[in-house]
Amino acid sequence: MGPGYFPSIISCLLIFFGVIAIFRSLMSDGTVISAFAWWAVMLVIGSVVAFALLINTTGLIAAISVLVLLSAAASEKFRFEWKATVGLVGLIAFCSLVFVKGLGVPIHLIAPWLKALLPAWLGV
Amino acid sequence: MDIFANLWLGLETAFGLEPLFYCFAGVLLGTAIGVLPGLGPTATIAMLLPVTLGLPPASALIMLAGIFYGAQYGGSTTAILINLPGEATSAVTALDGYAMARQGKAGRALATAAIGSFIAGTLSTLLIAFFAPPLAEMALSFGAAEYFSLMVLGLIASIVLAHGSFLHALGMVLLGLLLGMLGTDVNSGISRYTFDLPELADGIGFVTLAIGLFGIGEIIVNLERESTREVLLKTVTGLYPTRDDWRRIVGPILRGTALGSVLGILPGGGAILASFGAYALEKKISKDPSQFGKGAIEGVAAPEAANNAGAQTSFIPMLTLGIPANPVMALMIGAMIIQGIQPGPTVLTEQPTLFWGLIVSMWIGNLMLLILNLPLIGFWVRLISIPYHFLYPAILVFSSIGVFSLNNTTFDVYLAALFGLIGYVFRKLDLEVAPLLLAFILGPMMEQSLRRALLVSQGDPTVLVTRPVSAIMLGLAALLLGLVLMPVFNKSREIAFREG
Repeated sequence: MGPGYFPSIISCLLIFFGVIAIFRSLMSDGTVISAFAWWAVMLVIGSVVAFALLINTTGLIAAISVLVLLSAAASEKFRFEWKATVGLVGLIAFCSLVFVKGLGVPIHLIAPWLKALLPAWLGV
Repeated sequence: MDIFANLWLGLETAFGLEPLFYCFAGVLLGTAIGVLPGLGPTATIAMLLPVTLGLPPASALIMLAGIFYGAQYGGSTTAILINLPGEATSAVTALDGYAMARQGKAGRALATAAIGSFIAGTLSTLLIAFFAPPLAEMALSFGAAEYFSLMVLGLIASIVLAHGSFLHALGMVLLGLLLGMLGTDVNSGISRYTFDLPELADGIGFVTLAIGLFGIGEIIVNLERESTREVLLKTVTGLYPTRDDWRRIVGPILRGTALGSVLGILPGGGAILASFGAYALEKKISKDPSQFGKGAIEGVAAPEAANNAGAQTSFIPMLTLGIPANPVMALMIGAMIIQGIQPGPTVLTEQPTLFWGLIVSMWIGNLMLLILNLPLIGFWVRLISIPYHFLYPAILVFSSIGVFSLNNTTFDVYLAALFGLIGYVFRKLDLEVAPLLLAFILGPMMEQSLRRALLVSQGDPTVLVTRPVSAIMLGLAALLLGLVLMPVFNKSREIAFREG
């Protein structure tokens, strides 16, 4: 009953049923799997990865902007116009207020090094 | 009567200003995400779980529960108005609901769905109040062997109730169990499957897994079908069912409630199967089955009653045994643990105000939904018309921040992205994710029970069959497996899912 006891049982069962599944697939004609939407996959997954990369390096505002713009590009209907801009600004404001101010999630809105680069008259 | 004293205690708890507020917030949010196709209660509750940390336990659970059954109400609105199920459980409602809407009877279809859901919600809440206490008492006498066998039975049931290939569902369960093993072994302190990554020492978070598989994976699937979404909205008038409608819907509502209540307790896609089953049942016993699919009001009443009843009774195993019947209940268990409450039969005795408060709040929430839904229909209609390409980037933002805020590490966000990719592949291959999530949450519990049982019996595995209750449950599990392998049953199971 060591740490490997239960996982070994499960793994053996999984291998056993996996082999059966392989055999069954060789014997019957399955339905065709529809094409993978590689473009959407790359943009959506990539946008989440980009968010993770940016959140501690450039801060929340930049991370959200990149996430939204990258992922939205996966939709054929999305156009970057005033409605989308208003939505993005609203989303950033909402997340900053609720998650950072309200719930105290420790993220910089704008990373200190980035803040130093911005002109002083922006007042951030 | 004990039960009335208990319900009174629940009333006192649920009728505070704060619980009422969170109940309202929960059902409102639940309806909204139910109305919006492509955003389900599992992903929403997973996103909100970190937020509930700051709330008192009762309010947190009341709100999360409200989201769950509110979503069942909301899903029907979308199904009726645009022929697209807002939730999987509303898929059959779309058949006759949308047909009614095209005949200009959208108002009556919506009202029927709301009334059916309310009656089902009321009756099944009473069922919980009556059956949960004796069940919890029985569960208190369960030892490790019984718990292990019970979880085996639960997982087998979730395989039987999953749609698609039996072999695939079994594979998903086993994979889920293995994923649950990931991290440091509690007994020996040895790392398992961690690849020496310190971030994996505590295992994978359930929320991370759920958001990845359900939230992110689902978005990509929806994007594939984006161009086929059409919104057909008409002004909704004539909300009140006629006297003839009433006569026709009472029977289906009661039968749907009964079927839904039974199936909801079982693990797996209880609520989904309940709505499909109830529809098939009404069609079978109807005097004029040809009307089904062409706007039969019975075809709206029965599945809506069934899915709401199923959603409510799925709380029973969670509250009395600490074992989830579906991924949402697994999240509720997660919420309890975050709040420092040990889920299981002791909740009833140690947290009576929480227990009864939650139950009474479910009835209040159902009442709120009935009152709210019909007058607010214009608002929901406007919500449906929000284009998906505005919605999903926002969902991704909330998901990502939610996952990040669990442990304040970016590692979890990368992990969620990875599971998003895996979730998409699963959907492509027609593999159902719910059994995997269920197994993931049950895996560590099962391992602990098995070890404890074997420790007590000094390594003798026959303890699982020599203890009567445990033997009965394993026997039932074997029986279920035998049934599903029989061609006759398997065929009718497939028909039940394809009906319509």
